[in-house]
Amino acid sequence: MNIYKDSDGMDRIAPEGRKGNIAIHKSINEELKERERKAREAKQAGGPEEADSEISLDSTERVKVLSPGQLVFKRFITNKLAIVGSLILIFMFVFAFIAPIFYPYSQTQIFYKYDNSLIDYAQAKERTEYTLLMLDKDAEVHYSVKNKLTANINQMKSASETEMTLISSDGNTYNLVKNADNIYSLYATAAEKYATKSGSVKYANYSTIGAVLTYEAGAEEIDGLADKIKEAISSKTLHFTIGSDEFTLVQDKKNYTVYRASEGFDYLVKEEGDAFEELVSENAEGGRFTYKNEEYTVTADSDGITVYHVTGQERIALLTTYVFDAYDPSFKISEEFEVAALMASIESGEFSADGNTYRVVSEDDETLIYNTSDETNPVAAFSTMVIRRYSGEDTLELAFKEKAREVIDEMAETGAKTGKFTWPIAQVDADGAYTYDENGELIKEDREVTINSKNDSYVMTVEQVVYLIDTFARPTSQHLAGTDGDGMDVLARMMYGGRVSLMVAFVVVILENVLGIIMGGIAGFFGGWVDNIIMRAVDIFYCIPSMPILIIMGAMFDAMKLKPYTRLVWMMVVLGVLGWAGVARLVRGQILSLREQEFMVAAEAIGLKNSKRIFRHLIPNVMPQLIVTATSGLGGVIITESTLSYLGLGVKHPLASWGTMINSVSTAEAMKSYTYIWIPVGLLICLTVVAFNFVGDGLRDAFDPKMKR
Amino acid sequence: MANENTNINTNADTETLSEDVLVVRDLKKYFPTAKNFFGKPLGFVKAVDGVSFTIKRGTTMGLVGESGCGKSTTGRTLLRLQEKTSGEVLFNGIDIFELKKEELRKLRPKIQIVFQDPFSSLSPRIPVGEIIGEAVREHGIVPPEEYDDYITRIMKACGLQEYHKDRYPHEFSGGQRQRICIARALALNPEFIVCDEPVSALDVSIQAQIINLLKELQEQFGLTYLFISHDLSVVEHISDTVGVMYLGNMVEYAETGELYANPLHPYTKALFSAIPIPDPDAQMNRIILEGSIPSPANPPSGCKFHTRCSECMEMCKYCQPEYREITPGHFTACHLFNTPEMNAKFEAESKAAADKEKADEKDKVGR
Repeated sequence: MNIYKDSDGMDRIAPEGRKGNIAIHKSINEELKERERKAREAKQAGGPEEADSEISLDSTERVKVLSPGQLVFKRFITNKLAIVGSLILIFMFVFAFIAPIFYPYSQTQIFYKYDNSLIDYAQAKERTEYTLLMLDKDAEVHYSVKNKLTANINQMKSASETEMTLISSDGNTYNLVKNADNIYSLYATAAEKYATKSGSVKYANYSTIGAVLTYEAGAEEIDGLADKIKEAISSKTLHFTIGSDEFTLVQDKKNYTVYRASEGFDYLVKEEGDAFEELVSENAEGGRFTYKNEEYTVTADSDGITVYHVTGQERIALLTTYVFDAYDPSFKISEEFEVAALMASIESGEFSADGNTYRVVSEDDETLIYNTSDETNPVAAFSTMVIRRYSGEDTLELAFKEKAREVIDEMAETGAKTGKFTWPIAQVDADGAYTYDENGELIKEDREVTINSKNDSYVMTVEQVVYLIDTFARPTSQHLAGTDGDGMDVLARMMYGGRVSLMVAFVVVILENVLGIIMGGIAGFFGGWVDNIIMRAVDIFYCIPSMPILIIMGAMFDAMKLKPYTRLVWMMVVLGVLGWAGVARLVRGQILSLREQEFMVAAEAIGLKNSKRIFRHLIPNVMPQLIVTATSGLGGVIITESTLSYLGLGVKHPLASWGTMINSVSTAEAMKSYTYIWIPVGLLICLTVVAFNFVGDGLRDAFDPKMKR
Repeated sequence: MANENTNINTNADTETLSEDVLVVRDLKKYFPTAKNFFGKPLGFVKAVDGVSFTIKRGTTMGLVGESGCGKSTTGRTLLRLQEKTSGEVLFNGIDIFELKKEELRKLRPKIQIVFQDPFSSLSPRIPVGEIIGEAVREHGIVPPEEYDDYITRIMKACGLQEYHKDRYPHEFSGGQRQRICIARALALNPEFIVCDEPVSALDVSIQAQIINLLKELQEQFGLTYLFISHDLSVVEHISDTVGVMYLGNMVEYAETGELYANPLHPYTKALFSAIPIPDPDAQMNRIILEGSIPSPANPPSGCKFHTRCSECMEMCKYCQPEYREITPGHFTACHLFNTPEMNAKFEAESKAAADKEKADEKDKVGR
């Protein structure tokens, strides 16, 4: 036992291990264990009870004391607005993340409605244009004749002629012969040039000024010509004869051109007599005559008259207004078949084509073609009435055409303007394609076909089921919030849009805060040049105008044709990167003030590592502030996202977002008419942002220890 | 003194260690005030301007002085919570400022500090058990399996209950918080604790509790304290030796009894005359100091106290007094206790300085 003097000069007994005035340093743990052991022994020996085992009335042990987190929670739940905000947010989360699981529609599902509407189904028209069907494939019809065939036929019809001669500009002669109603034959005639008679020849010029007569080169001078001209001019006959020669004057102001009529025919084959020339003169304007049992044709033009000797003729083509219809849609009607059938209808009534023999029978007012092996079922028919669908590709069945013709004929007889009949019509589905039953048969339903006469054609209208995208439907029990301009369910899109908006908000805020905490934490804790560099970077980020950047990014994403989801991810990254500066500044400021607090000095004094000092002492003390700003920031991000989407820079159609939904009714007219789309969406945005702000405010108040409530 | 024991983690051979736990030699800490464009300081606040003392193992040294005289700065600097300007601090013979960061961190548990403000020195978001035990785990003071019991024992030793472990600092009163601070320091099994005005924020009854707790712990665990305070009676109660500081300088140092009975320096005398006597009839002979404490950014020349000293001499204005041992164990820095040879030397110096000053002034007037 050591005795030493204490500061008061009193003698004291040094505890074990003390040597004089110097204590021998011993582990506290050992010391304490020793004391505990002694105390236990003393207790066992019946020593007095330890004083601290008594609990007084005001002991903190009896009082329920809350941890800081519990205190914050308690204060938060007493704030009514914060509770309202929380409830709204809970609703939003359920609405956006859980409700879509149970909701039957997806965000991009398009809804259709169907309606009966009259559509122009087919058109019937009397054919007036003649088709040229060549019999001889090698033969050619000169275009000057070909172009006028229909006109010439009509001329023949009106004049009730059965034959017509057509002379083409190249001198070939064709004969047009009527075989039957609507069937004409074109014959090509072989001819040789027989004779020509040239017209008048320019002989001289006479000018009244000075009475000068100038002869054309090669013209013989004639005495007294000038006098004769003067005489003719003064008598205004402009015609005179000198001997056998005839002269004509053509006036051109003061000048007169003198023409001498040609002298006669130039025969190319053999000389003919006056009788022949007389016949030619009779047909001088073009025509045909017979001379000594030989046929001749005459053509006249400005150069004179040409006479052809017809040596033979051949049928080269048929002209018809008939249209062929096959009874069996698979039966292909070739041009050869058509020609043969027409020929047969004129002549024998039977023909063979493609190895089969057919018979043409005219029944009542239609002409049918039977295969000779099957006399009961016609294979085809022809008529002048053309009936076809308005939409080009599909063909009408023959039975329909026959029925239509029947009705049209009836109409023509009675002079009625409209006619009606019922016929099964194939139905189309939502995509405009035909519907088939399980056997692959077209599904048809009886519909009334109405025929209206319109000028010289007939229009057939049918009432048919039409599928339409159900756009801007008002709220019904099927679509509780109606449908939008694309026929998508608004309620479903509101749910999925909420998903996007909330997800974007959370991801962006988390990204912002992670970046901000790291950068701000480093800047605040280490200070010096690190702080300087980071804070200058923060200043730069503050200077960047975010809207133009986002607009450029939006345009860039458009150009890169990013997928909607990739685009969404990039948008979140950009928003996060643009937003970290504020958080970094806040964190740095907080840390700078906390760093000087004594508990941070104490943390250094007890020798904690830097990482522990930052993450266990600094960050938890910055968290309250951060939680508050982050919660309030969530609302801001939702607004930004909605704005971007509204401008078409953020989330792209068809991915739903609250912003794109409002964008779909962004015109003034649409806003006025479709309030049931944008008002609920706008309300959702408003409510969410307000709720985030309420919660943020509530948290701020709850974290603020000076708040009494 | 030149103990080269670098094995700072072991307590095994404490007996071979020197009697002096802490030796401070001419410690200076200047804070730069304004800086120019290139970051070069334009002026300094001389918070600690050459302080030397030695603390023996198992004893308490009190450090007193007015507010702003550099007591706390001394305390913090010798823990290297801030870098020194010059001087040296030897802890068990190891220069603290020579250590690398990691070595210093390892040494930290041996030297602890208890702060003045128990409200700001505890992290508000960490439960008490964790505050105390955090560094225990970090430094492996006890084996992991004993950790829980150890924290309980420490808390009990500091007058805290086991159920306080899971509570947060805001749930405690000031006195309890200071106990937590002490427990935190104590849990690291330190040899030396700087108590930086640990009781000045507390009311008197709590002060007594804390002081007694500190004393008790010292006796039980052989701790060494540097007790910084401006409360002279508290210092008298707890300290074995006392140093008096004025404007960054140590002006007097002696054993507590000696110093309180026989203060030498005029500042010490003035300071001690302000100790209230708990007797309403007693006459207080207060020495009233004139003027206020000068700015440490621009301290007076010569003896820093000469502007307020009632016994100021000519030499005090120009010559800095020597800090020396007047009687065994009693140090002071005052010209009143100069030897005749020193007086002669200082007089000559001061005369030269005064002449020079006059000449300078004349120069200024002449210009």
